[in-house]
Formats: sequence, structure tokens, C-alpha cells
Amino acid sequence: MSEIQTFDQTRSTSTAAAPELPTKTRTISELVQDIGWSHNRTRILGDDVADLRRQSADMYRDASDILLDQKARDLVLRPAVELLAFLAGAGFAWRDIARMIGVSVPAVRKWRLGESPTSQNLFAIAKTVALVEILQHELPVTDVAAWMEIPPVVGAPTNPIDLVSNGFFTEVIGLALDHLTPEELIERHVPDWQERYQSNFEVFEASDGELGIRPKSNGDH
Amino acid sequence: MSLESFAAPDDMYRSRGTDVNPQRLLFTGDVYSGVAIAGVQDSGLAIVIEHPCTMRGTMAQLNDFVLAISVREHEPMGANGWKTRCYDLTPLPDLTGTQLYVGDFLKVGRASTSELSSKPRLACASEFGINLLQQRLVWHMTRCLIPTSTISEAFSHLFEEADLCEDWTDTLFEVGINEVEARQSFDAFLTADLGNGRTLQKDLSETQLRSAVRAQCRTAAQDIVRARREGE
Repeated sequence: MSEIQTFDQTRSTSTAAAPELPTKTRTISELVQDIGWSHNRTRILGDDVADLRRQSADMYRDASDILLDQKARDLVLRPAVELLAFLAGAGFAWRDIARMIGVSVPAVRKWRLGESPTSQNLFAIAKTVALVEILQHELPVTDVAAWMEIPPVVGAPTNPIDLVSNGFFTEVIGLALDHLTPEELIERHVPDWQERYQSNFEVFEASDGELGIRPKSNGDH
Repeated sequence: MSLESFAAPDDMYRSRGTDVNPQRLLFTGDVYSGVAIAGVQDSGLAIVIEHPCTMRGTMAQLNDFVLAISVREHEPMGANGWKTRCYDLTPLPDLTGTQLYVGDFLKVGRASTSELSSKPRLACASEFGINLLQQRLVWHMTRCLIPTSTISEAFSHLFEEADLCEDWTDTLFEVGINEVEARQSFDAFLTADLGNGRTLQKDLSETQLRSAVRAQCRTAAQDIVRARREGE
């Protein structure tokens, strides 16, 4: 394997020295060298792809931030009642709307009944509407409220609404675009999620049709 | 693994004090004042601990009595303390001002629902607050520790129904429809047979269907309001 060490291992794919074209008869040593070169080139390409993915994710995060901000600035000119009605019409629960905005349910209720939110809270409402509009019109999410309510990782109850409630707006866009895997996103939000949400219980439908809780059967362990 | 706790007192409540919506139906985790609990107190603070599945009968009619426990003041205790201590109590941080109150599982009994309905409601617990109450209650009664996330999975559709009912009642109140009539119409709408035994109430058990149920409920409530206005 010493031959591999002789190749250029810098991250620039263009500078990797290509071996000579194969001749009809080749020695074992030459074949080993070729395989080593291919192995090296694959690794360098893999690193380049990972780098590009990171750069693309960073660029998308910046672009999403700008887009969200721009949309929110346009939307903030509309009355709070109208913005809240949009979110309700999309099918969100009032408690989830309140969580995403970062206020209590009674606060949202007061705004629905005509009280004016502070400019900071109005911007928070507008930003939430902006996110929903982006997911709805510019990304392939059909029922945004349902998509945001369903936990993307089996075994972790965290859903995109929880993420937005903690300020992960652009990450949720990244999730919709597959720029981030659900597992990556949950790791960021709840690093110890596997331990925290470990449960020896399961929910089941009882004979009266209502849901109940029971220990998981042996087969599930 | 230990019992769970709240990160901040606000996590425990949906509403407190003057923020409590009188249109909200009586629910697990509601705190009332001036309540008599049979065998425990003639009048005092109390929190409803009965599971929502068992506090109502047919046509969503409240039963005559619900299980409640006495609530009292308690010396300050940090949020983390609740994970490993005071298993016979359930925390009610900042119930009024910054005072810690507790519900005492040893002081349990039946409270009249008609009396509760006429008493001041000091707070309504949040979904997390109710799940934590249930976790501590089950632990106290059985030493069985169930994660709040599992309790939520089995319980959240009931919380959802209570939210929708409040929303519906609020909407119909705009045209003078009273609470009783509004709740009856809500129950009829939610339990209407949609074919093959399917109802919107059953759909609420499926997370992916909830947004559609909410949208249908809101549209139906608006339709009632519109019809009432046109009829005037």
C-alpha cells in the first residue's frame, strides 16, 4: 500500500496525478497502484461533495433568512387579525400558533378580538405567516399544518412546530428541502433525544374505543 | 429515569387569573377557589385531577362529580426538586403572583361539577401541565413511571377537542348563542357519522388529520354565525 502515499492527497481534484493509461499486460504492483489512486480520488471527491453540501446548506440558510425577513417585512403591514386568520385557516391550533409566536394563548385570543400586539409580536406573527407561505407556495409541502405537527423521527415527539417555537425557522425550511435530515435536526434541538424519549410504554386502542397506555410487548423491545 | 419537571412556571398553564376564558369547558388541571371536596374541605382551592375521558358521559354531559385534590401554599422549591421529591404533591408554580402552590394527592375526593361551574377558575393547565399532573398522579398511586411524551400521545386528542370546543363557543358567542347551545351544536358536529362509523371526533386521534378537522370546525362555526346574522 506504500504506492498510495505517493499520490497527491490535497483537496483539489484537479491536481491529483492520474496514472498512465493501462497497457495490455500489467503487473500486480501497477494494479495495486491504480486501485490506490481510485480509492484516493473517491475520498477526495467525497470530501468535495461534503464541502459543497455544507456550503450549499450555509448559502441556503442565509438565503432563507433573507427571504423570511423580507416576506415578514411585507406581511407586517397587514392587520394582526388577518395574519392570525390565515394561520387558523391553514389548520393550526391556537396553542401552536401561540407557541410559534412565543406568547400565551390568551394573548393570541386578545389580538383575535381586536387588541393590537406590540410591533415585536406583530413581526413574530408575520414571520410565522411568512414561513407557512414559503412552505406552502415555494416548497413541496401541501398541508403545512399537518406536516408541521407530525414528528419527523419515529420515537421522538419533537415536530417542526416545536422547532419553530425554539427559533429554528430556517432549519424547518431545510428539512422540507431535504437539506437536513430529520435526525440531524432533532439532534440539534434535543441532543439527548434517544435517552429522553425512551419509553417502555405504548399507546393502544382499548375495548371502549378510547386510547390507553400499556407496557410494550416483548416483541417491541 | 426520574419524574419530569417544568422549565419555567409558564410551561404549566394555558391561562391564569383574568386570562382564563370563561367559555372553556371544565377540564383536567383546572384550579378553582371556594370548592368543597367531600371528606376533605368545606371550601378552598382545588384542582381537578379526573381524566377527561371519565368526567363526561353521553352527549358530552358533565358527570355530577369529578375527582379533585386540595390545593395549598407551599414553601419555595426549585423546578428540579420535583423530579425526585414530594411524590404526594403536584406543583403549581406562580399560581398567583410568584407563590408556589401544590395539589395534595392525599387530600382527594369528589367535587360537585355544578358547584365548580359557579366558582372562580384561577387557572387552566397547559397540555404539558396536565401531562405532568397525570405522571405524578400515576407515580403516587402505583409507583409506575410513564413519560409525559407517552401520556401526551394518548391524551392530546382530548386536549385538542377541548380547544376546538372553546374556539367554537367563542365564535358562536359573537351572535349571542349561549354556552350550552354552542356546546351541544359542537358535540353534534364532531360526532356526526361520516360513514363507516367515522366521525371528526375519531379523526382527532390521528395527528395528520387534525389540521383538517380544525379547518372544518372553524368553517362550520362561521357558517352558523353567518346564517344567524342573515336570519336576523
